[in-house]
Amino acid sequence: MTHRDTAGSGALHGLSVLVVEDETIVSLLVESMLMDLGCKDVWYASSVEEALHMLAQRTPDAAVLDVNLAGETAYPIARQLAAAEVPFVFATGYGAGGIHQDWAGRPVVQKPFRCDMLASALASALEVEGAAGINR
Amino acid sequence: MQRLANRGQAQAVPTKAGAVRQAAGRWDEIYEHMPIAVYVCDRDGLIVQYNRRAEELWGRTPKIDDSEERFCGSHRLFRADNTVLPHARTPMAQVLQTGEPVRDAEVIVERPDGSRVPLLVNIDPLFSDEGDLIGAVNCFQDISRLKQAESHLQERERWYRDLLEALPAAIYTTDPKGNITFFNQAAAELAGSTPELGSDTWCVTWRLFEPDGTVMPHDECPMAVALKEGRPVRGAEAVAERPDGTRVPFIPYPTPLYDASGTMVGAVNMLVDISERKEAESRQIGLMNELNHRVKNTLATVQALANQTMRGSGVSEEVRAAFEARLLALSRTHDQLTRTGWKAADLASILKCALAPYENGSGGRIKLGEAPVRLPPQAALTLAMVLHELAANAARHGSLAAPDGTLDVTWQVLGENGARRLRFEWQESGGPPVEAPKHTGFGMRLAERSVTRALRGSLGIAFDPGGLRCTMDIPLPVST
Repeated sequence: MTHRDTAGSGALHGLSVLVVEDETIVSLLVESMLMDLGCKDVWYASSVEEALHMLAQRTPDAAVLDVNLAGETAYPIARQLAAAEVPFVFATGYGAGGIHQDWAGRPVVQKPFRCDMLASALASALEVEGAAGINR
Repeated sequence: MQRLANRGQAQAVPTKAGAVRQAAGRWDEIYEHMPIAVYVCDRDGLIVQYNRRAEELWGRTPKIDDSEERFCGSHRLFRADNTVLPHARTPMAQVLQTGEPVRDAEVIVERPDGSRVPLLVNIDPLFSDEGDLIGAVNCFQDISRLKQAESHLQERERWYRDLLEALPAAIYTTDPKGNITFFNQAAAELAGSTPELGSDTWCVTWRLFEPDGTVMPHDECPMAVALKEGRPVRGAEAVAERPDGTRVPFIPYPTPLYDASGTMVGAVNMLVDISERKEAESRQIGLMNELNHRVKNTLATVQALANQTMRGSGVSEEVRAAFEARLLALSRTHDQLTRTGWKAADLASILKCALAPYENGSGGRIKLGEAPVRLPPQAALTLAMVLHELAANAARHGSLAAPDGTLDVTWQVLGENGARRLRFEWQESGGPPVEAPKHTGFGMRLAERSVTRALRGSLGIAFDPGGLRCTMDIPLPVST
């Protein structure tokens, strides 16, 4: 079994991805997965405040959001990303049922996840946002 | 008797006062022997005649034709509410004034010795042939026993009401048509408003909902069902909405009530507030989700640690992937158990979980049995890891490694309630030729030990050249 043979990897090639994750060690894993998938750049934020600050300065091509950030939820970041039409996925230990209904339908990866699971979640996020962009 | 006396007097006497006395005199003997008290007054209320029973009940012997003794021969009179009733306002005075009879009036007579007797009074006017009012006859009787029985009944009724009021559960009753006839304070509190006796029907609550939030019409509520179908309803659950918008989940216990002849006379309902239980349940779900979240984060951290440790340390990609797959198998089984509240997990879904990474949409190559088997949490976790090892092995070396390879998994439950066993068979075919491994790997050792020790069953692995075959025989707990 290899983790670099998924359909998603091509779609992610050369992208800049924002990773918001409060567990440092997990953020390192996600970062290396994204690099393996061919992403050009991975930005890292560990809190809502830090992420919003980062988004005020530059816009990533995609994002991976841990839903629970040390007691805060990542939804303010999600709103900012949705407004900027940036595709994103939620990563959570709660599973799809743990996502607020306002964001139901957004791609979710359940922790812990393999590289290919992250890749396909991101790929479907890129499709969703792409389709939404056309509709607008 | 009064009508007879009346007619007798009317026929016999041509003139007023004297004639009345004469007529009354003819009935003296009869009066004397009657168990009912009788006396006659003339037009002016002077007592003309009375019998022995009247004397007994008055406790005195009034003078005849005495202008001081008008309307009544008693010492003192009271109304039923114990207020003083002057003789000039007695029912007799009233009849002589209006010429209309009085029926079933209740008064209380006080004898000279102070004792009191409740009386039921019936008075009829007496008329001359010409139709002139000439007097009236009063028949009265002692109703002490009736009053005692009545007050005893009231006492009992009050006792039952106090009893129902004292209970902390919401209780109400209805008639057979569902009109509310009684409710206690706890019922009004649960309803959030005071029910209207006479207009409210079926249930004391303001609005009703099913536990899932859909509207429950009052005439379809469990109490309505109990009344319409004449049977107690148990095991129902509903949510009451109060006028202030707050909601209370409760369990109703509607029960029809019957009289001695077996006719349904209504129903009683007890509503048990289960808010606290519901809150505890949702707290428990919350805690379970939180626990799961933490476990998953911890597993993700372990995955990250292992990944970072192996990366660039010469460990092969195959080893890293094998480790990751095992960790994820553990995580997925955890999800399954969380979904069922850590009560039990279904064998088929555990298998699907274990095989999910290998199905690859190539459909049809994996065939799974369907018989429902519920496994307790620990057994489910143990078996899930064994199945993961089998699946991983099949994907690396077995039938799932070949494009045309197939996997057939079947199982059945054998034996009776007390000693049920799961007979499980994993048959691979169409893969590369199978050879027995030279040494036993971790996966096989884990499977062997899990099945024989943790699950107290037996495991057989046959390395048939045509395909690996694994059989398990595992005792099932009684309750599954």
